[in-house]
Amino acid sequence: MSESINIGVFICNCGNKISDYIDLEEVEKFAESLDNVTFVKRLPYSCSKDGKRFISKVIKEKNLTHFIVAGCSPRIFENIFRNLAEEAGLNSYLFEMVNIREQCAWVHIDSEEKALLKAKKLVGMGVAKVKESKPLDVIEEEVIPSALIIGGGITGITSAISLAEKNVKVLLVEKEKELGGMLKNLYKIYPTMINARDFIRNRIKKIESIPGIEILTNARVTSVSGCVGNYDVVITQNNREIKKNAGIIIVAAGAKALQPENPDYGKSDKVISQMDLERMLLENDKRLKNPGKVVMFQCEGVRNNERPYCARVCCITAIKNAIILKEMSPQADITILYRDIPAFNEKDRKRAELSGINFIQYNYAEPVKILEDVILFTGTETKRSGDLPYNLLVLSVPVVPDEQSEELHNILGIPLDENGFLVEKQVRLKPGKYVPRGIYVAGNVHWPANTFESIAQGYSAASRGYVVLKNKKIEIEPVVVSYDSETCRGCGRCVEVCEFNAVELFDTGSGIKQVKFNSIMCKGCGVCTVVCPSGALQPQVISKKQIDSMLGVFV
Amino acid sequence: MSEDVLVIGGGIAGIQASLDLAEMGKKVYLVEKKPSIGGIMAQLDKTFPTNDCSI
Repeated sequence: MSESINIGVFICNCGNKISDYIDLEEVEKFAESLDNVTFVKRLPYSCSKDGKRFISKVIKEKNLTHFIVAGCSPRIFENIFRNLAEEAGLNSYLFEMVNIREQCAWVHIDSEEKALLKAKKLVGMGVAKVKESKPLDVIEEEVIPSALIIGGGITGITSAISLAEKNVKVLLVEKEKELGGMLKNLYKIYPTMINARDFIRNRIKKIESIPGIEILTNARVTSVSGCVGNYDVVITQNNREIKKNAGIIIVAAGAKALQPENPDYGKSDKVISQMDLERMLLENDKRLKNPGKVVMFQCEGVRNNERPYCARVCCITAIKNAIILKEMSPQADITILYRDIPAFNEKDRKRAELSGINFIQYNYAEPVKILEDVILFTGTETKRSGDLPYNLLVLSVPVVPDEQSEELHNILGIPLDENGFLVEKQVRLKPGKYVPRGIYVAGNVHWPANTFESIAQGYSAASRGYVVLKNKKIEIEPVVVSYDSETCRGCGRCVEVCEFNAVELFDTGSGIKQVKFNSIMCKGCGVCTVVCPSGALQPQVISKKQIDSMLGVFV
Repeated sequence: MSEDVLVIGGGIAGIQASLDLAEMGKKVYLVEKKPSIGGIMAQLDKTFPTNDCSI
């Protein structure tokens, strides 16, 4: 290693997707002129079987000590080339990927000259960086074989039972005094029309019978530290702090139904919310015996500037309750006054129409006025103002994030979307995967979901979490900061800026302060290395020296 | 009891299920009726809302 540095540069045509825009022959010549570069080759597809075999062969035959691949974005192929390096006997951190496709060829289609110049600089910078790279070893950690589940609604219960069936120890934390979540307050579940309370009670009975599941109610998770495989959790229950460990965390904290903000709500007992109706159905309220004219007003408090989303489940809830009411009192005159019904509810709308429910569409751009016993609106078909007299007006309210979502966002570092729901890392391609590893999100806390979707997501989170727990050991990328206690002055600036609690200030005893650095908690963001005045904290994957020499190439 | 799993259909759902099962250490047989796996998603250019290349 110490004798000579042999850097290999592999330049990818990417079919013609790079070579069409950049003169790669020129890039090749440039790379050959760089110090320590002992091998340069253009390849049609570096990521193909042949390409990889060739790179592997060259690493061994030419005794390469470092190499770069100039090609596409590292997003997909960086890992593949890292594995290739290891297979060829080279530490995977002695490899660098240089993006000359998305960040060069494709954005400079209009100027071959500029694209070429940039490609040369990028390759030069890649070589300058990789030259100073040091071999790093993957950090291996034991996995604590237990799971923390936040939320004891149907989603959390499903995850808990599923994990317990695989012999995983589960700790379930519920903020309310009893389990069951939203289903406790619902009458029936669509489309099977099974009794929601019976259903959830059975699940609660089941979960309470499993010895491997510990349930804490009236409890909240108040702090989480550590990382995948090894989370330290503090739970607060009745002003008492309980400390626990968990290998993974499933967030199934749910959401809530909006309390109507409409000033007409609550003026009289004739204007209620869909959740009030659920409760009345549960309590077998006498007023539902002969309700007369019932109007269900859709999109109450949602799809407006404040909440610009469709809460997905309110239409189906209205349809469900309309069908139930109609069955209870066939003489009732029920109308669903809607903005539009999501297409996937079309067959359900048919079912409701066949039971004699009326559907009228209102124009949301025009004002809707609620008077004492009539609702005024503008129809979309008639384009004229219409009125619907009512004996009972049901405002269909959306699912909105619970206050706890923001708390969890702060504690767990999971981002919130503009509506206050927790956000996935990659909505379509990686559902259920979130920024901190080992944390899985399911159910309403992430997006309004119906009962069956919540159950499916609960199972999904459990099986994904199980993959981590089953392996007993977890590999953590060594993309962390290095710490040198000799040069540390103990000023504590790093403690102020670290988002991950990886640094801690302590007294060495003689009044001298020092930093305790935890490489497991460190995410390698490097913020501390910027504020550290003595240079005791250094980024390992990209050192200051590397940045300097890269800038040297650039300017 | 055999621990192996048969997954029928090599679209995104089948592929994801197979990958997850394999990560759990199960042997998976993925059966697809067409000449290649990928299903409908392989025919899409980008997927909404992130506009990622769909393969």
